[in-house]
Amino acid sequence: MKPLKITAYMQTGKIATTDLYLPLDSIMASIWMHKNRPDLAYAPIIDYENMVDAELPLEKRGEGDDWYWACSFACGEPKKEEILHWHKRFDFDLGTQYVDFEKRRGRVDVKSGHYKNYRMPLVTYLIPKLEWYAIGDLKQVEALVNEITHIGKKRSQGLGRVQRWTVEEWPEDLSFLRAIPDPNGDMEMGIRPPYWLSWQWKLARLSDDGRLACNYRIDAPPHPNVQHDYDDEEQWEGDL
Amino acid sequence: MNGRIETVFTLLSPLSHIGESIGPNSHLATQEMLDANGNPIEVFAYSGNALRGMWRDTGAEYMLKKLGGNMALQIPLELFYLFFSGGAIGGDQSIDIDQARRIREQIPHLSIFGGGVGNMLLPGKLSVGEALPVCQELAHIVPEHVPGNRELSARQMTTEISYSRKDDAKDDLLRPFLQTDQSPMIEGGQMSLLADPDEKKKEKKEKPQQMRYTMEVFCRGAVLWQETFFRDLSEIELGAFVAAIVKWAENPCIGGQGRIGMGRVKAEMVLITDGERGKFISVGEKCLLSEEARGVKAHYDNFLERYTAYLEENRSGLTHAISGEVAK
Repeated sequence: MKPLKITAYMQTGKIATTDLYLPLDSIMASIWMHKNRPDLAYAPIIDYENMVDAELPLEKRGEGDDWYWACSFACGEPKKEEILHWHKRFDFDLGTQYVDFEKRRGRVDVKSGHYKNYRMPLVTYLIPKLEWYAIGDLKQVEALVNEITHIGKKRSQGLGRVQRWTVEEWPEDLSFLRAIPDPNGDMEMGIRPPYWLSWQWKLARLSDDGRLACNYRIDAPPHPNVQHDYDDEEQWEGDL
Repeated sequence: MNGRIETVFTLLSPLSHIGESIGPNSHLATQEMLDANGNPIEVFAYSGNALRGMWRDTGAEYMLKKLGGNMALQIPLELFYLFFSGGAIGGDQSIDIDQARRIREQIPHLSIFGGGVGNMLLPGKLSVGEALPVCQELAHIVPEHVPGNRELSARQMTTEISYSRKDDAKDDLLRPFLQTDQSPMIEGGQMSLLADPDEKKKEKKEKPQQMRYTMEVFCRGAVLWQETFFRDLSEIELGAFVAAIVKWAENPCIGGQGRIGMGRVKAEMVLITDGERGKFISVGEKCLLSEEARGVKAHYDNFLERYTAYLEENRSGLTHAISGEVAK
């Protein structure tokens, strides 16, 4: 296993995520499940004790239950943040044709409750490319990542489309740019896939290295450099 | 089966897809994307969520018409919400792995589009991307073989259309039909259908009906390119997707304002699996299916026919399939 740099070149650059961690080992684990354990790929995780872990072509690090994959979080420079909205609404036209209200009153409350209509905000970032650093087997990693077509949230709506992948050997091991379990760490974080599973959250530390996309600060658009002089009657009227 | 379907939409009438409305004027939905040099630009895009919702609706319609034997099969409200809108997570119902598997087997429509069942999210198998215009700004993204004008900016492909909404109450020819204080009142219970006629009249005075409104639209003749990815589809599930397209092809429109003829399209769909491209579905005056599309749709139709026979014996079979009470 060798140090690797894995790059995803995005199609439109649009990725839906709130934290920009985007751990690649998690996305690879999902692909591994689809290929090797399709019976579990679409099933909810219920039996945590006997949960099946993906066998990724990456180096395993850490001791005991603190183990994790040697793969960094996403590195990159987001160009812009944008809030999109997605909508969900109850279709009354179709409802009149297909709903059997039996003998009840045909009334559907779309302002609250189960059938509520939604206009949901979605945080997205514009990023031309994302990079990850790992210790792994180049050929096998390449085979897995080439099957990843989308990254981030709302993939079902086409967000986070990856145009192409490259995997190359890298002179430096930067796989430490991730959540590393540490009893003196300052926050509880997921350390291995599935990251959302609170059962395996540990005290960890995350590097403040500027290469990590989550640490990157997008410059705010410059303020218009206009001096307001409201003693000047003409400018006052112009501004009004 | 893993792969993707590339669709090229050609607009046969202007497309309305509202992103923002200011007063009586509405503007097209735009998104920030990256240009060829990696700089942010704002371009019109037809949302993948809108396409997905539209095909989910037509897929559910196809299924219920088939199961009802050409009559629309009417179903309980909760099932309707699940099939047409994707449902919602919540309630007491608890779903286990076996039950999730059974739902996938028995309702391929739900398996491909996904939905919230009981306390569980059933993930779909489709990723329906946004439709991107073939234009100067996105020429570096849209493949070479897609037709369309790559030298024209997307901004130059939009136009504004204005409409007038007439207040018929002010039309002298129609005025005789308007009830006034002098004209005789309609007798009987019909008047009780109106909440309060006096109040309504006052409200009318306050809210003028006549107005002029303007819509920004994408021009007729423009070309949009779109990708739909799928993963782990069985033949029957691919057939369910083809059936959704066939139903949509009966009125091939996208976007809003269909009532005034907007958003009419023709579509060419190409199936790409294992790097091989093949014509899949052509939607225009008629809906033409390739041999492969016809084959998988026939599989789905056979499946639905078998299911129809099952439903004739078990009238609440669909509800039970979701709740897991029977069909084990």
